Amino acid sequence: MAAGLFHRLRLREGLRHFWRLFHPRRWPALFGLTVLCLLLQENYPFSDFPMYSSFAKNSYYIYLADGKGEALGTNQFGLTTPGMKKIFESKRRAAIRKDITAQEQDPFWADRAAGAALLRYLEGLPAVQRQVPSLLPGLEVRRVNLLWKAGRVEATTRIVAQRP
Amino acid sequence: MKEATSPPTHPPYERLFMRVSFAWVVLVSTPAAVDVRSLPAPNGLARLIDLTFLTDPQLLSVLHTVLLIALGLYIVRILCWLALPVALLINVGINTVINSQGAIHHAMQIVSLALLAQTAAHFYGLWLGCRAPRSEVSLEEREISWAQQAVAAAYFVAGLTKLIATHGAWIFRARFMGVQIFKTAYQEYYNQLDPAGLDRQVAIAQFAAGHGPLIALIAGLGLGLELLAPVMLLGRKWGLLLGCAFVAFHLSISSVMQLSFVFHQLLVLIFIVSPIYWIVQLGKGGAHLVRRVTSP
Repeated sequence: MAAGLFHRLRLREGLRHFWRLFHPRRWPALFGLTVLCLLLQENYPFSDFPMYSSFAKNSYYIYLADGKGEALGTNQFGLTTPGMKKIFESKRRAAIRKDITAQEQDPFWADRAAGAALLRYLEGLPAVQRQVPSLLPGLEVRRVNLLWKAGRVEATTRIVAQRP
Repeated sequence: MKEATSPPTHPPYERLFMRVSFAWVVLVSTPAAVDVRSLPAPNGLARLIDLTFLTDPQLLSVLHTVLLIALGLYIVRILCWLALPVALLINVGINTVINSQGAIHHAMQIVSLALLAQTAAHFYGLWLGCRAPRSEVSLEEREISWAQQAVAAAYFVAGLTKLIATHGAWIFRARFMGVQIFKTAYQEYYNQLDPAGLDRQVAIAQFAAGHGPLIALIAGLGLGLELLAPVMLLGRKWGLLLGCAFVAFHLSISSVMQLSFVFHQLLVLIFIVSPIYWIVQLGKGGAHLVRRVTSP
């Protein structure tokens, strides 16, 4: 019966036609680049980044504040806020890889380590070194946790690192 | 099964439009200066070669001039065998430095991919030409086709990886998009502490958080579009239809999430939609109509 239906709907012909239309030899760059992007992952210019994909119930962003707790524009540091968050996240992951036990004992440990590493990174940026007066004294890294709860987004803020 | 590049399908004015506009996109997507002095998280080529020398402002200035010359040669189709790889190396090298700061950016990646595809197409065409002589036009047609395929590949990979990364559950997770809209709204605000549009974005985020099924349906259309990206290659009408859909998709996402992916939009317009072709066709159609109406 299934074979009859397959035959009646001309599925075999349809599949053949589809295969002919999208045969890899017909579109070598499409298939070549797709395979390279999937295999080489995040190695510029290749990327397996799923645009608009990180739809989790929770997320976070970070921002900078001065010693008085006033927010500072990230552009003053020669960065964008999403870019700075990616740097923070890569340092956080590196810290967890380095010492998973410390993270297990203290859930905020990796955040503090990444915050401190981010502050060190910011100190070395030419855009920051040029700033007069310096942006660095008392500089804080703040993490805002976001959580989807009963059809609303809730936000909570925490200081993860601060310069003296 | 033959490669889909012949017969020539792009008139000379359209090929010129594509070269000029793509050269401009390559130029603006290759920064003339980078405000960094080191590569703390080497990425791509920088994992194989130390690219710290590319942070030298004087060298970057020279390279930008070389890039300008290479793109000029590319536009006039002289010494393309030299111009394309030079432009590719400069574009990929400088963007690799930017991507080696610990944060991977995806805005320029599609431009480098299209440039890589055109360079590969050129050398493949030259190699084929050694075996059986081929015209300059057929060489360029292959470059255009491979650039179109690179654009389609960038979207297709994004669709595939969404499904791979979420084990097919992406659509179900899309109902939490409100969290991402909220995040991008505040990230945009903290760039310059500019409150313009913040309240509106936050209101959209809360609306999205409260209307999960509707948001999942809209997001599902976007995913479907990405997975259909190879269909853009099947002809001009498909290219026009899906290309415009992609631009509309980007514009709607941009207004909600502040993620514009402007180079993606530009390459879709240049290589897939090709507005100049349709403008000329409309002009020809209009002129034909006027002739028919005014003829005795």
